[in-house]
Amino acid sequence: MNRVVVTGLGFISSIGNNRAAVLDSLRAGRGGIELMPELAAMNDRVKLAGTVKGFHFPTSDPLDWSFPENVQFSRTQLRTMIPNAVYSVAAMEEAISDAQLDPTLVSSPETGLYCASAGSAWLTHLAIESVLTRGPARTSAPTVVTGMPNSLHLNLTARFAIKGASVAFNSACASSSHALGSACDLIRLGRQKIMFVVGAEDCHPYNILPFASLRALSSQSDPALAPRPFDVSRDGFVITGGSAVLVLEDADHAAARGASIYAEVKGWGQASDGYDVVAPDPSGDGLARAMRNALQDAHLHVSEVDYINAHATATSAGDLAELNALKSVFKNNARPKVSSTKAFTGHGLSLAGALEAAISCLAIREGFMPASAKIELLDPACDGVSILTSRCDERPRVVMSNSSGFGGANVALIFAEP
Amino acid sequence: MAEMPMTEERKQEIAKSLKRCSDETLEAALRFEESRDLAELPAIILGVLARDAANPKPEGVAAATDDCRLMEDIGMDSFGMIEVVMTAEEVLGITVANQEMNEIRTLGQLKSFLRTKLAA
Repeated sequence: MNRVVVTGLGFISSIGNNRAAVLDSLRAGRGGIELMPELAAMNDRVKLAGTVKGFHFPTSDPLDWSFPENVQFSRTQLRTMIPNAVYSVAAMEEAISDAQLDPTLVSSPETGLYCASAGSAWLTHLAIESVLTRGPARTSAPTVVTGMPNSLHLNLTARFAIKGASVAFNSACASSSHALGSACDLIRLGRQKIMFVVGAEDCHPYNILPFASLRALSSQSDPALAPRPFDVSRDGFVITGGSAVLVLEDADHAAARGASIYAEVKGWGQASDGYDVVAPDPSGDGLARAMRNALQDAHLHVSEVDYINAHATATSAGDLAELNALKSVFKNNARPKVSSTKAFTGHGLSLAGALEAAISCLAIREGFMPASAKIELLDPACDGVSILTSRCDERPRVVMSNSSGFGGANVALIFAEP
Repeated sequence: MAEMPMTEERKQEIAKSLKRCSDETLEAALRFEESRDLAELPAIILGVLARDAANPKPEGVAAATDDCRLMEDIGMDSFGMIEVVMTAEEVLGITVANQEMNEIRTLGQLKSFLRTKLAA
């Protein structure tokens, strides 16, 4: 099987709109959570979000949207755009530039794109409302595209003229980790040389509020207090949007063109809980099997994992299930350091896997392990797990990044220094 | 030959349909609403095409002649054409069938199609 490496990263996130800004935030311990006034005004349950700075979507008319200066769209390109695709175009451009891919490598039969977002709940709502109230003949044609759940996929493949494999993944909060693992497999099998892996979500009340109905979101109004994964007083997650992009590449292909390498994708594993529609199996058995599958795939022993970027969203049930999974896999002398960077970024849903995979690659390249922030009192259930309550300036050689989605879908990705 | 004064609501509807068109386009449409004078039609059509052309030519839509092809010469695409037809329905008060839309290839055909529709 071909080896797979990561040769480019791109970020539009609550903690920074490029790689340098994200790195700086992680090192400085600076989070991206803030009070979102329009969200707070709409309900009495949730007020905080991991907002994406510099992007504004005041109406559904894309010509009213505003972006940072370096993000450019023509009127025609904007017609079919949704907020999360806007973020992704910007993150794609950073990743392409970072990987030094010329246009012939971006648009090539040997280059594909796997992506994940839950669509734009906001624009889907408006599309349906328009056809029902104004009628199909009075509804603008592009709303069909902006209302589709795979709108991100349609927009990105057209914008970047993708000619290889392209699929939109949808497994809730495990989506972009499934996309990354599956993209890795395509390169391993020799079916593609380069794969873009894209995770993205809107950051809009319409994709946040439904989770408040599930009572899964923190009701805090102080960003210093939420989300608090692994803290005994954690009270739920805080949603974020944005986009993260990783360029996965055949290792020989990358070497032949002299590409700079962040990390090797050593392997991945997936497994399902088979337990409940939303609640995780309290034993963590599904996630534990995903982690064991990943270790087996990577031909690594548990003792070789230095750092785990946990899924830990700060729900009571989710964090406990993951702690049980970690304790069942990493025993005896195997004590990897563990943190949840969601305390800084918020929970990106379909974006989370790609964002945390990209953060894991930064950790390997830059030689540090980010903290699990905002912990005042560690949950006693963390006994036996080395939670990093502050940043650790050691280079992790092997990093595991976990994702778990509703429906009990679990993915573990393993990256290693090249 | 105005039949009845235009309501403020109708005025707003037309303005909304012609959002981001030039002032001249909106003025022509408002005059047409009152007078039904087909001489206003070319200004309305060119104004909407200018707004909705996906790949507008550098010389602009205003210079287009009746033999110009909507896609190849004026730079329309499929989404843009649907937008033009929807705007025509809203502003001119007509109904266009899918098949009728598919048969329109040039600016001249678009103008004469709309004239025939309005005369009917």
